[in-house]
Amino acid sequence: MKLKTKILLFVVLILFFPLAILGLYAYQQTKTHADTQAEIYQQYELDQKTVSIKHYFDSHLAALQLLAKSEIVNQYIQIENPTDRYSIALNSLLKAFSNFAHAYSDFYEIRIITIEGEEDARFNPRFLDNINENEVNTNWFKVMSTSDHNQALIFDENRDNDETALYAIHKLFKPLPSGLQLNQAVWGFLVITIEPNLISKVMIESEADSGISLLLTPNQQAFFNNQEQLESKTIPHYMYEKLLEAANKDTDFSLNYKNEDMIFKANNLDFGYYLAVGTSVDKLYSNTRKLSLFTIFLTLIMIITACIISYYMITRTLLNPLERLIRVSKKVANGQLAVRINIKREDEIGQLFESFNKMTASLESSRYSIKEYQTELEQRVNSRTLALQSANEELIQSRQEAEQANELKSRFLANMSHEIRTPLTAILGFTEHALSRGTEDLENRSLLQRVEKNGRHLLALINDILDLAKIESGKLQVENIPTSIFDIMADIETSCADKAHDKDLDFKINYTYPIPETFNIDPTRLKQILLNICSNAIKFTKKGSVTVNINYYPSVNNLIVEIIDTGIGMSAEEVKNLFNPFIQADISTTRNFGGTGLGLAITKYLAEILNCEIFVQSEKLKGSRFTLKIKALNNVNNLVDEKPFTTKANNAAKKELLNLKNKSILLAEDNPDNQTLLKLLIEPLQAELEVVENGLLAVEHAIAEEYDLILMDMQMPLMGGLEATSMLRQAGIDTPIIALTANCMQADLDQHKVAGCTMTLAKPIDNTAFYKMLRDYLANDTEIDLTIDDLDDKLKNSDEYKKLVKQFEGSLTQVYKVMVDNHEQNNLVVVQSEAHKLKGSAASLGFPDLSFIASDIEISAKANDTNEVTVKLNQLQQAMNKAIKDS
Amino acid sequence: MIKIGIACFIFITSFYVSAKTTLVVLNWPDYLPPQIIKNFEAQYDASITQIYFESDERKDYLLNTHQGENYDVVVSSMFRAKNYQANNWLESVSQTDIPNIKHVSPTWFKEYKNSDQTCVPYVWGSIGIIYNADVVKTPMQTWAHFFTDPLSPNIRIKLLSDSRDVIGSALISLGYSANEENVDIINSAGKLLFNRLENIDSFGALELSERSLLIQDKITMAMAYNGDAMLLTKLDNRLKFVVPKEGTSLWLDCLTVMKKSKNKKLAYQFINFIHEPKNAAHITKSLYYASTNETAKQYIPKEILDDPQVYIKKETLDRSEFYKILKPVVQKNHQTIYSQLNFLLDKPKQ
Repeated sequence: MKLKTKILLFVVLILFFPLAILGLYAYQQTKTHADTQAEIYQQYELDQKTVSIKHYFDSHLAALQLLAKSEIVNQYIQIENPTDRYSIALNSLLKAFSNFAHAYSDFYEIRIITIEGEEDARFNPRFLDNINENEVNTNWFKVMSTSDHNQALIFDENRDNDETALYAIHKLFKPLPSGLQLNQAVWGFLVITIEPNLISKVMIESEADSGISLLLTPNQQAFFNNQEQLESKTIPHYMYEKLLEAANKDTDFSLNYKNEDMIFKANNLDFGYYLAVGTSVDKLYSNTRKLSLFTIFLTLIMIITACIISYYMITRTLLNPLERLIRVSKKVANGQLAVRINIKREDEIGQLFESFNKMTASLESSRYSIKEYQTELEQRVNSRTLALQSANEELIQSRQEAEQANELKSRFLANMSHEIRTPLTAILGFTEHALSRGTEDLENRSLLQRVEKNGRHLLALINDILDLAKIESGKLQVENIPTSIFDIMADIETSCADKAHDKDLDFKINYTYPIPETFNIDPTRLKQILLNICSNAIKFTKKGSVTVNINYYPSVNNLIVEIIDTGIGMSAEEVKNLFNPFIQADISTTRNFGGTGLGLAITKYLAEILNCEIFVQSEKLKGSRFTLKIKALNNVNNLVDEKPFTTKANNAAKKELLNLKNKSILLAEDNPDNQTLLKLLIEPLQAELEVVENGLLAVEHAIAEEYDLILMDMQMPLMGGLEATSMLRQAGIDTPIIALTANCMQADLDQHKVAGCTMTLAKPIDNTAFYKMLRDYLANDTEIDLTIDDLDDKLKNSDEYKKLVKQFEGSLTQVYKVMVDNHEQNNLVVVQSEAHKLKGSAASLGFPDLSFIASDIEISAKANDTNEVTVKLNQLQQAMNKAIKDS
Repeated sequence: MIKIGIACFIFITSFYVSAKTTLVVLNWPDYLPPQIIKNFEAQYDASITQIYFESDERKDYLLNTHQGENYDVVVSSMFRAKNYQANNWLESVSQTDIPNIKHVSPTWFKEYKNSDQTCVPYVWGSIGIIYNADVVKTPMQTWAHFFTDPLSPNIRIKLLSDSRDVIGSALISLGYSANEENVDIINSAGKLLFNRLENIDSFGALELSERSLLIQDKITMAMAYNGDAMLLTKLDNRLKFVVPKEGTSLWLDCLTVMKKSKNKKLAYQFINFIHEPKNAAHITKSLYYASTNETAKQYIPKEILDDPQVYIKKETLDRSEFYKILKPVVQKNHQTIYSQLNFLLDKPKQ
């Protein structure tokens, strides 16, 4: 964890949590306080309203009493006869009523209702149609008729306007003549109908319209203010009960009223009325929430500010200098000792910087002295190195000189060997010739035979020296191709069996199966190694046998070839020097057995090159055992349990025959000579041959019919071979296409390959190669009827061929003429194509000289070199004349 | 009203000084010439205390409050006197007690008989329209003019403070009888009055002096009893009085003696004194109300006798009628309407 992170955590722990707790505490406190305030406010509001309504009730009751007890009313009801009452007293009564109406603006009307419910007198401040109605059925009348009280306040519907009105009612008692009133004898009622505007106003007066006020009547009705009017409403019984309980016990309760959570409180208003106030919880506590939210907000701001400031201060006073120190010390660690920290402060950090600077300064000075010492050391090392270098260079030079000398030696040896071999071949040749001519003189014959023998020895010696030189100079090239050990052993048997037979020795080859049929190695060198050992074995064995054992160990993938002889054997000392060149077991050995002494050295070299080991076990006079261990065979193929039937063995003996019956070949060739020649070549094979003159026809034929092989001349009119080949390949024809061309440069070959040619045969067509190609592409599983050589001979001796040659000779003059004419007309393109044709047919029909000259003409014509063409045409004429003359 | 009551009370006490027999008369203001009072007091060594009322209704209240006590003689319209009689407040006055009854013309004497001799006819009259002709340019010939003509707000009207007078005139203006008993019709008359409220200044009797609101230009029109109106037109010639053409309410005022009176003898003497033909003539000359005393006519100047506004002409009389006692419900209705009109007029404009 970085220091910054730690400090951040620390700051958060030290500041955040205490502040958060403080904030929460403050929030809680404000919430509680504000809640209490809200509740007090609600209570206050309820009390205010209660007082207002109570006061209202009281004042109206007072008015009622005053009027009911007034003289006027008493006088009025004393007059029993209505006519008298009305004529005498009604006017005064109504006057009195109207005075009250003046005083109380909310009096709707003042009436006197008789005990029968008849309206006896009425004053209504409004000039309305005066309708008399019997009041018996009204609620207030029923209540008052049965009530024990003398007065009452009753909410009832005012039938004039269907609004709720407050009825202030006072009983009027029948007066006795004495003037006393009997409470039992109710005369009627003084009824003041009051418009309860004030009540509804009081009930509507609520802070921010945050709730509902209900006026509960004794008969469980509730009145609430609706648009300035009191509206009646029946509330659920339980709610009524709860409100009553709340009023009587001075408690409150919550209730979901009209989908809003409300807190209800209630007060008793007397006369069985209750005032209830319900305040929406949301609105009641809205101020609380504001304050609480503000508290939380403030706390959050404090927390964030305190954290940021502390963090910033700590960072600024501690971390930034520390970071600076770290940066500078990193630089110092990287070797920049000249760096110093800028000291601007005098506190602990400043002191730290100062001591750091001092430390760096002393480091710098010590570094300087080290550097000086180092420089001195380096100088010393340099001078020593220089001395060593010069010595080394001298050494390299002398080694190069030695190698050069050695190479010169090898080259000289090689050159010398070659130079020696040439005359030696001649010597041997002439000697053999002389011997073959036969001579009666036995002495001469013996002499000649000695010459031959010594010559052959010399030749072998030179060959070995050449090999060795090659090996030493690293010029020996090694192949790595699938090789059959059986084939190699067959060759060795061929060359060794006769020698062994001559010396009356047993030569045996034992295979311990399984043995790989083939594996990858250089067959020539392997054969050389084995032949060498075998030849030596035969050479140094006077009687007995030479046995070759061949074993394969699949587990280690090694092939072991042992050559065991019963020869003269070698001592341990002799075995030790056995593979050193130029050393033979004994001087006498050379004398007795001949040889160059190089054979085994070469063998050993070769074995090493082929990744083989050679071991020798030998006992003087008993015989030797050479073991060749071919390690880790490469590309081991097909382990066999018996000696396979090898073709190679038969190749030499048997004649090879081709029979291409049922095979079809398409030949595209414009030159008639070449057409004939190829026909001659193919005819004996009994294959069907179709000949076309140009690439276009070739494409048509190849698409229309299926051929086994297509021979395609590259230069043809209308469409060249290259183009035709591409078209055929694009058409999806995968028949092998053999390009026939006189242009056999590497670039040409690549071009043919790109176009899709399977292979290229060079013109002039080499018969052997041609037949070999046919065998490869057509006769892979057919019987071989003819040897290639036979075919070649057969062809050249055929009448058709001879006829063809004759025809060619005959056409030469004409061809020459065409070329000269076109040359004179400067039509070099024709000259070029004629030359090309001539080049092909001349080569094919055995006129190499003409072919060469034609090739030159073609090149010159193509290069537009008119002079050269003229020269070459002259040469051609001479060569043609000579050819015709020769034939 | 209360103020007036208090004023009356003070008035009573101020006269209540001597040990002489005092006759308490409940009367309209200016309805007994002072000379008559003086002469009577001198002749009979008595003192007369008059208690005035401004309207019949006020008088009813006073009487009812005391159940007919405290007053000896009450001046009352004939049809109201019937109520008092029914209430058994009135004493029957025999002809022997008031010998001068013989001077009363037979027409009115009939009423005396019909009222069980409780109502001794005093003067009679009608109700008409008095108006300031300088301000009211259209001549006020009918009650219909008075109640339904469109008037500019500066025309201020004073109505009598009697429900029967007010509603009766309105009924006549609508073509009905002042004694109409159909409540709906009465209500429509009430509506008519309600609609006039904008121009109505007040209810009450007219002040019969220079202080009269009509003379002071405080009001421009008023309902008036013909005698009062005559007096006022004499004071200010801008004022004109008409008895409406469609007819009007007639009234007969009676002199009644209260049953509970302790000075009945003096009361009889007083009534008899009034009907001395010369006294009766003096009263008519002073008040411009037609006397019921036939003999008195010889002492009344001709111009008064011929004045159709004092002695109303036959044809007008034929169209007019006296008030009758109404059914209780109708009475109540009249009272209710009248009280409402009063209230609305007094009610401060909001």
